[in-house]
Amino acid sequence: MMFASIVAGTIGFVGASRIGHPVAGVAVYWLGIVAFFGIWKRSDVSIQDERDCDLERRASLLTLQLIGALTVVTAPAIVVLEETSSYTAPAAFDELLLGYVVLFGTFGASYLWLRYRP
Amino acid sequence: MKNSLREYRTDADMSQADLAAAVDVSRQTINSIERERYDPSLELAFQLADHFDCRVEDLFDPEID
Repeated sequence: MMFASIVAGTIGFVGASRIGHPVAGVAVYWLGIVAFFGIWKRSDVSIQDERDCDLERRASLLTLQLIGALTVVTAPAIVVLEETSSYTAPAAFDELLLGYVVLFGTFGASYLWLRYRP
Repeated sequence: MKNSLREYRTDADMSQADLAAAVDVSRQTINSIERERYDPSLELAFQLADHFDCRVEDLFDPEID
């Protein structure tokens, strides 16, 4: 029910955007988010137990490792290709790279905070 | 980690859902532990041992040489 409200909100956002009403779509999206938290707070059922948390932690680490490996290999390769050939990377490449930098910077900050917090 | 959780549970005539409710985890977590696909936290291991009135070592075998 909880996650269904988020899915419904997301579908509502996409649908409203496609028919030219993105602001209404955002409103539907936030209705889904509010419904999620409302159901969560009113329910006595826990969303995650320790195994769910462990799976989420391991999936997050695996995702970071895969994206990190991909970035380490492809970013310099694209730079070299652009400099040595007529290949021009799409403009979105620079934005994607910036997104990766923000992601790993956030990971580093989170790691340091968790390690050194009192 | 090797464990005898399924044996203890069936001897107590409990379903996975019953045991899960007793130690406040999901049925999937109990199933994963019994299939040795998930190692419980120390806290959960002690809770399970306490539930069956046995030692943690009776339930779980870390196979340390």
